[in-house]
Amino acid sequence: MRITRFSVVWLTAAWLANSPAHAADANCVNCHIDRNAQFKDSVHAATGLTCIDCHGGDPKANDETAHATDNFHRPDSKQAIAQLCASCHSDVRKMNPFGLPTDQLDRYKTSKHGEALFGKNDQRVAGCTDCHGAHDILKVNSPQARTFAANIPATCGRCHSDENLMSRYKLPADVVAQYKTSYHAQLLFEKGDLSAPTCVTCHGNHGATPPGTAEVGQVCGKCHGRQRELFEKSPHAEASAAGAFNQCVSCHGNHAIQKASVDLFASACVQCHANDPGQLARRDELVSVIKTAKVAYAKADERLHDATVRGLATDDEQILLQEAKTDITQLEALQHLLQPGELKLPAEHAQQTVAMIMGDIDHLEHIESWKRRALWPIWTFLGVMAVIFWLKRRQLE
Amino acid sequence: MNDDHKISRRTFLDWVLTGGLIAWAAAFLAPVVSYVWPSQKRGPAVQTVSAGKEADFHDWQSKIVAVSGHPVIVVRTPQGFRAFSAICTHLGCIVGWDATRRQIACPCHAGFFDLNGRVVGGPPPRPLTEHGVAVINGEVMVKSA
Amino acid sequence: MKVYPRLRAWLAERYDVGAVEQFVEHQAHKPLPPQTGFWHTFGSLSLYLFLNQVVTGILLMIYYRPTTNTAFESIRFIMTKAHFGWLIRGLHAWGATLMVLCVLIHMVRTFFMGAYKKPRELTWVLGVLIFGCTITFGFTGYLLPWNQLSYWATTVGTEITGAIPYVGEYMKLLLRGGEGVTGETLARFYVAHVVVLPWVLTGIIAVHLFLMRVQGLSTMERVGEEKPIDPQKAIPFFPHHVLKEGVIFCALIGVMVTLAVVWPAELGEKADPFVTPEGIKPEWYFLSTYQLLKYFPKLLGILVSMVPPVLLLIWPFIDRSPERHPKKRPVAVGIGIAGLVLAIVFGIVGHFSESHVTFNGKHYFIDIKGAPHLEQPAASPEKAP
Repeated sequence: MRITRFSVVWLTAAWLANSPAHAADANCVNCHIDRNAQFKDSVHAATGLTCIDCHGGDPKANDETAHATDNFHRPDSKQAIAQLCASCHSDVRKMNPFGLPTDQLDRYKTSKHGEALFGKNDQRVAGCTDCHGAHDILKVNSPQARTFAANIPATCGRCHSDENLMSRYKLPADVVAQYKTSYHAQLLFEKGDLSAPTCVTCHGNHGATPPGTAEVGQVCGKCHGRQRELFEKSPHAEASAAGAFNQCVSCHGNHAIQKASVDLFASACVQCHANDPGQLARRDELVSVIKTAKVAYAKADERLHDATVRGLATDDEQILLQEAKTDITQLEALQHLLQPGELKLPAEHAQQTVAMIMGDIDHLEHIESWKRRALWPIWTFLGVMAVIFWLKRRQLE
Repeated sequence: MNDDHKISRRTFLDWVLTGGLIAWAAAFLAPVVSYVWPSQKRGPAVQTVSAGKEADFHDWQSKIVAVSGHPVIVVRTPQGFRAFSAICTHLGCIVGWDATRRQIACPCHAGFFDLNGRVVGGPPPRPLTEHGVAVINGEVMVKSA
Repeated sequence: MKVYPRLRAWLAERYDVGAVEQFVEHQAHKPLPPQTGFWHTFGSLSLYLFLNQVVTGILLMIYYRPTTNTAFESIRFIMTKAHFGWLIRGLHAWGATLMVLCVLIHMVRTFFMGAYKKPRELTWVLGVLIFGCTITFGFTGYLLPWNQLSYWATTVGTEITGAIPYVGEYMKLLLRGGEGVTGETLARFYVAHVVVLPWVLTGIIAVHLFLMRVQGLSTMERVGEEKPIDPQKAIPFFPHHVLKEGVIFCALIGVMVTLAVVWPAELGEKADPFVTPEGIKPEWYFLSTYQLLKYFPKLLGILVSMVPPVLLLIWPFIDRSPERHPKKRPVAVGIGIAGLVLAIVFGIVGHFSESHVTFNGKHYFIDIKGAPHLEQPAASPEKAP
């Protein structure tokens, strides 16, 4: 059994070593040592591709005559590179076994990068190899890949943080720096949460285009679906449709987005409604409903924790607290409706649940106080017994 | 009853002393017996909790039960009962049963879980923990972990 | 109808009942010296408290489960579900503290009254061993609720043994049953607490009591000049002295129940090896040793902290003067008072070390060695975010 398996491995290795593709490589790498060093660990090497699959040439020649064939080519423009990549990556038959899409080039042509490259022959924009690398292309889930989620901001930042380059296009060069201060970046870099959004989550990758005002809600809603759904029913949805409001961005910002709290109301609303006491009153009502519920919840949480640590029976109240927390968390989503009336129901439910918790703990503490009251008869009894012992002793003397 | 006078202080004291000691013993034994008596017919290491009678569930009906201080959602499917921790893995809201979608739904941020606990929609990062559940003598019993 | 005579007759046909009866009779009515007073009751109070620990301990064992997954939960069950579980746990917890206290007071009484002198040296040595057993009980029992305080106090406590040269690391390994405090430690401490120590202590107490009974209570006369007890003034053990102890016993029960009700034993938070709470302190009876250890390098600290127990153990063989009255042996009494004062001072410093206190309107931080540092109000922990 062991011998058989060993022979199979050995034979396979021997076959691979003698295969013509590798013989071809052996000749190319005699000169292109550095290229081979980049290529040998790439995803393409792993799938069995060799130099001649992209570059052509004579695999048998061992000097510069190898380049002297008709099919030898070295792409000399980003368009040519894109076409070369697409020769396989747009071929459904070739990509099917790998489960890869074949529309990257089409998508790329719709992107700002693609439009400039193919429309204006602008060689400064990002082509395939700028983001993926050329010889050293790695799979997207490989942590060393330029396209790995945690490496995306750096990859995009190679151009988008370059002030000279960005000034040519009248684009800001601080977007990546801004992103790095955001809550999303905190999740990505500090918590290592690879599902946190990076540049491409909102802007797309091959079809990279900044989402327009109309699409912001869709883009954010990919993750924050509930908030988007509620926002659609808010008065601001209409304003957004009319172009007077930029959906999520107007309040939350974009690249430097921070973890939202109820305090955002203080700074966001006045941007437009500074001179509108009616709307500000409405905001204050919203804030007060949420804050009141949160304060009540925090009090119940603290008191319940104390009671539990003291050793009171609080199993049921733990579940009630969880219920109250559910209401509070719902409030945070529901506030996107911007209608104080809609918050009433969960807020009241949270208050009622908190009141139940408080009532239960009151009851438990009431029982505790009865234990204390029971000390009086106990001491009286013990006192009487002590007197009897003492009298009996006196009597014996 | 002239003997009343003859009941000396000594005898009276002895009676009180004996009575007191008996009362004392009783006051000692009562808490001990009630402590030893099973207070809920199950001990501290709770293994299973009843979610109710099997007959009270119809297909696709769900119920939230408390299992040692944690909510657990129990759903009856035509293939049998399933039970999952009812605490959403996103922000800890209590999930509920969406009868039309036949999925476990979180009311806070529209997270959805299928009947294997897997996330099928919304922000929850992890599946719900499954609890063992079995019907024993017509009673739906949920395991604590 | 009389049950006892018939039972006695049945037994007498088979055993020498008379000898047993005579022994019991003799012990029950044995006269005690007339000076036997209030301070003499702490020995029997210690015994009552030991019995209290046995009874409440057995009751707690009914619901307690000594594994890391169930220990804390079973204590919560005792506190919340089992009827009077809170009371039984409270009596056990406070009983432990009071037992250490009573044994200590009993020792102090014996020391100052010179009762350890010839012919009672061994009774004293056994008494010191009883004290050692009692605090070992406290140390092992403290871990069992498996809450944050107990877990970390045990971690710190067992860490100290690691500093002993050559054998320290092995001793620590043996105590903990592994590198850290784990379920293995819990099992070890549980076995020590409920099986090993109770029988060891029962044995020592039996011999201690036997010796006390055989040799009688010490009086204040000089060694070798004791007069026989005057039968006219002597106090019979039963019923006279027992009734006197009954009065004290009433007070003890009252105090214990009151403590258990007014300052109930906490459940705490479940032990978490990844979260170290602030200001871990051992139980009060270890505080002075704990504080003493801080002033010396590890090894020297252990040697220094070994001095008081060793001194206690061999004290009757050092102090062999015939005087018993405290006024006639100033050196021994002086050393005793100095030792007591030092223990109390170290204990108080240990209690306040590594904590923030407010005194006279000013905030101080008491550092690890007990030195106070005045701090700005803003730096006090209450104000910190």
